[in-house]
Amino acid sequence: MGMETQVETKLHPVLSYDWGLMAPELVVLVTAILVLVCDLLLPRKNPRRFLGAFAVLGVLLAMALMIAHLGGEPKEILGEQFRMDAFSQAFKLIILAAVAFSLVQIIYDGGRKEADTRAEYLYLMLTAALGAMIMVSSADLIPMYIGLETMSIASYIMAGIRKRDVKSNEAAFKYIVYGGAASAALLYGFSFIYGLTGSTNLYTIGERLPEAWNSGYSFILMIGFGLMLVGFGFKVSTVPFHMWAPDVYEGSPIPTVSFLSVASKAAGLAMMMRVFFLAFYGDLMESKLPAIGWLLSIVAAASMIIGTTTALHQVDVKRLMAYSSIGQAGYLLVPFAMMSTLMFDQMLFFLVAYLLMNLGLFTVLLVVGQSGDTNLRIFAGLYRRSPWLALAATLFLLSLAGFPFTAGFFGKFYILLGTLAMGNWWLPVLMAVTTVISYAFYFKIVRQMYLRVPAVADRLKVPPVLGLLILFAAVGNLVLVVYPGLAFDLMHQYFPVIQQFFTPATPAL
Amino acid sequence: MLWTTALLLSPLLGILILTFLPRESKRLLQTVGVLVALVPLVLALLMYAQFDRDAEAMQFDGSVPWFAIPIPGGMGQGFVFEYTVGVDGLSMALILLTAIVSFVVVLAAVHLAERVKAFLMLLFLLEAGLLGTFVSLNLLLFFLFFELVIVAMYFLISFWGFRERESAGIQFLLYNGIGSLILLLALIVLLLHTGTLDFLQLQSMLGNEQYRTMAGLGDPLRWGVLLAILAAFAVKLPVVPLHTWMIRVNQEAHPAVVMLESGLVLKIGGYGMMRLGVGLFPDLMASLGSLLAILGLVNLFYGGFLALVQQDLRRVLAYASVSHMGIVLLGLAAMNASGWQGVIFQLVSHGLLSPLLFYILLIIYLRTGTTRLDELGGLIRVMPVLSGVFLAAAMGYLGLPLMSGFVSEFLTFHGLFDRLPGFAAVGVLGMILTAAYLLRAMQGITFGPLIPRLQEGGVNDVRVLEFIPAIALLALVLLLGVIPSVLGDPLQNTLQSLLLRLGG
Repeated sequence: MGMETQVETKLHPVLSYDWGLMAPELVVLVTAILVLVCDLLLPRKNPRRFLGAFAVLGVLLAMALMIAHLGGEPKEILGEQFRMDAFSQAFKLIILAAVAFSLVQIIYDGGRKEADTRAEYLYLMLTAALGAMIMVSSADLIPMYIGLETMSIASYIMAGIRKRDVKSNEAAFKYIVYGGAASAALLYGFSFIYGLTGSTNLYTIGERLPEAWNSGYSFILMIGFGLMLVGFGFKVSTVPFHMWAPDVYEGSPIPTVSFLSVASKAAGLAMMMRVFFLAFYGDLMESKLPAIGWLLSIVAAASMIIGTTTALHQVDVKRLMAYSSIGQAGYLLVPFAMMSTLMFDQMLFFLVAYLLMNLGLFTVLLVVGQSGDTNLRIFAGLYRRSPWLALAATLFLLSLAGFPFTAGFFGKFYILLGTLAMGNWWLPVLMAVTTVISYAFYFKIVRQMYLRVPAVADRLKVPPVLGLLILFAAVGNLVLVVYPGLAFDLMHQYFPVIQQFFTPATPAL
Repeated sequence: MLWTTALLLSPLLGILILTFLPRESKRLLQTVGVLVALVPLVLALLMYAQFDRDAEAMQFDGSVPWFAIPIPGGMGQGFVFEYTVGVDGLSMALILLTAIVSFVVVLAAVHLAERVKAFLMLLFLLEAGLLGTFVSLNLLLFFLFFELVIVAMYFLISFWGFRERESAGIQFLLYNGIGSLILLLALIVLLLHTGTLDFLQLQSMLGNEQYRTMAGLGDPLRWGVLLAILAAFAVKLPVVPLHTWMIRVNQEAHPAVVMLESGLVLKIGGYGMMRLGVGLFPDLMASLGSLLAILGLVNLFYGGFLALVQQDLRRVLAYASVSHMGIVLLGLAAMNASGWQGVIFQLVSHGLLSPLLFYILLIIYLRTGTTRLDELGGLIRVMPVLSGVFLAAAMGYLGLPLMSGFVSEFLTFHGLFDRLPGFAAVGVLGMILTAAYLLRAMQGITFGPLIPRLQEGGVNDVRVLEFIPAIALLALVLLLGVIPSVLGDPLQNTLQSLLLRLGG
């Protein structure tokens, strides 16, 4: 098409880059390898619990390294193939925190009979985390896709890790079939973009797309966009690409569900934002494809409506949470569809709140559903069996429902604020309506906990570490309530996402 | 500010203390509950004693920065939110009511068969929410407490009470949830146009026409916000046809819970209309007079007629509340000092009388196992004292002179005759309905032939301890009726300053 390159990407020799930038990723990788090697060397009878502790330490170390580098100028390696900026740091911290939750859950999941797959589970989780990290820290289609597949393949196996459980097998099978198709669609979409711009670097694509758009290729570009939307929509589990979620959530063990509902969703969302914003919007003020905002609004609206209304009829906690997460994905997409300058902050705040409440609730579910049953009835009489656990679960549920004095409320308040500020009326109204509908099903669990007689009346034993994890989620939630300013100040000071997102970084040498 | 904050925190402190008490020792829980409920009551009375009747500004007020939402690349600090509280005549009346009724309900909680600890904790949570709603001068804070009331009330409704209580709880949650989210959207729109949710700042900004034009707050937008706010509080009050949740709750929840719901939670509706409606949009409210009067009449007569045909005392009292909240709307419609005084008097008077009647209902239910009019009769023969109190309460409700009901109705209609005489003339007829349905209920329950079940004996009259809550409420009803100035005086200045904004 004969266009001149405006974004100059000069590649330096591989070894001249400062690979220290990737230290968190490398720590996760090394931890995964060490867990794998230990698994091979340990005798069969060892329960491998300490490997879990080791994996958690690895993730915490990676988070510490990340925090130590906060607030710096954006840097890149190999021409935006790896990029360290506020955006990737924020998302990586969220992903790692979510993975830490999942890893602790793995230690306590399934008891003795699952000990032989525990180490396997641990290093698969770490691998998935690594994939997710690469997805969010690249501005180039190829590494992004590799990260996505690393994460996906690991999570397919994690869905089916209970080899003897039919439902787990079914979940893995469904997930791999749907997921494979979605990945293929995504890759096909990429190929259109690449074909028209001749580059996989998102900044270069952003420069060249307008010309392609204006020279009669707009239809092909829309097809490319649509195909990519399928791929991303699948990962974020938005309507109409959400069908897999209830089945996979129902069949998979809880640590996997935790991962899918937060880490995987966050990574998918981050990749989606990178690709769409850098390739299509270029600049927030002049959208190159005006229809995209509309399309995303519709997807968000449909997710909210279908997620909340379908959740009303569920009797299985995991299925209910799957539909709830579809609805929440709808809320998450609203700022994205609005493209206000607040959008990154809104999304990050909501994600942090979502992480605390969702993973807190799944951890409670892990304690309550030790028998493997996940019918709503397992929550029956929880208030009598363990009052503190019931109280924590109530907090998480109220937060998911967006009641005041919970982090979830401020998350929704912030999104409503940003959306109304952009002059949009119907999305906030829809958010309000679906929020009220969602009371009905979140309170279904609340009713079970307080108003039903438990099948077994004995006190519930909470493993101390899981108790600590739940406490952490609850306290985190309350901190965001008493002083939401903390999150706003931190974001303002250490995560200047919007200032760094749209400009190419300097090479790290 | 110290006073108000202490008042707000005292019920929460009670929750903390109760957490560490064993749930089996009912006696201990009750004693601690009474002591805890005494703290906000004493604080509220002390505040009332110090209340400066001549001051026009907010009292016991203060403000602490809370948090700010920065706008990336934007100027200034972004949206700043503060913890701002304060008390004026309007809120003073409702703070006192809240502290008193909560205390009385703690006393009434001796009649609870189970889960006393949870009841007391939720009651204090509700009390904190209500007090917070009445003292907040930052509308975000106001909203948070407003929703806290909904959560606490949901649990109270669903835990205790009759067979359908759970679905009544859900209905309550959904109706009020919709109401509060409409309010939230309206508040956010205000925030976006003015940059603040501080009540006093908003009041001066919105009162300034130049500022309004500058901020792009045209009349259509202001109408939209006002109507949204009114709609939200109309669910609470409740205004017909948004009243169905209230009937269900009155019927299915435990009478002790209904004492709180009917006595306090409904009052947020009236308070919100005064504070946010009249306080922020006086000129627009002034032109809503006739609409409010029509809605008031609908409430008055619809509630009255339906109360006349109910077969269950619980439903009679529920529709009586609907009817009496119509008087609040009529008082608002008057748009003058007398009418608005009537509003506050009516809120407080109903806030005392409705819990009193539901308390009597509770005792009748405990003794006879029913509240149906056709299954009861001749109670005066076995329970003369209770029947006497019942009669007195009914007289207060229907507005007998020297009782609080008379003062509120007199003030309301006095105001309304001044402004909309036609509506007032029709409205006064509604008063006859009150007499009719209450006397019918009285007749069915206290007079007439003694029902067979009671003839066997074993039904005792009220014991002294049981009697205290009823007598306390009745005494206050009489106090307000004989010396209305205890409530009227603190209101004067607040209402005057509101009327000034109305422009006449």
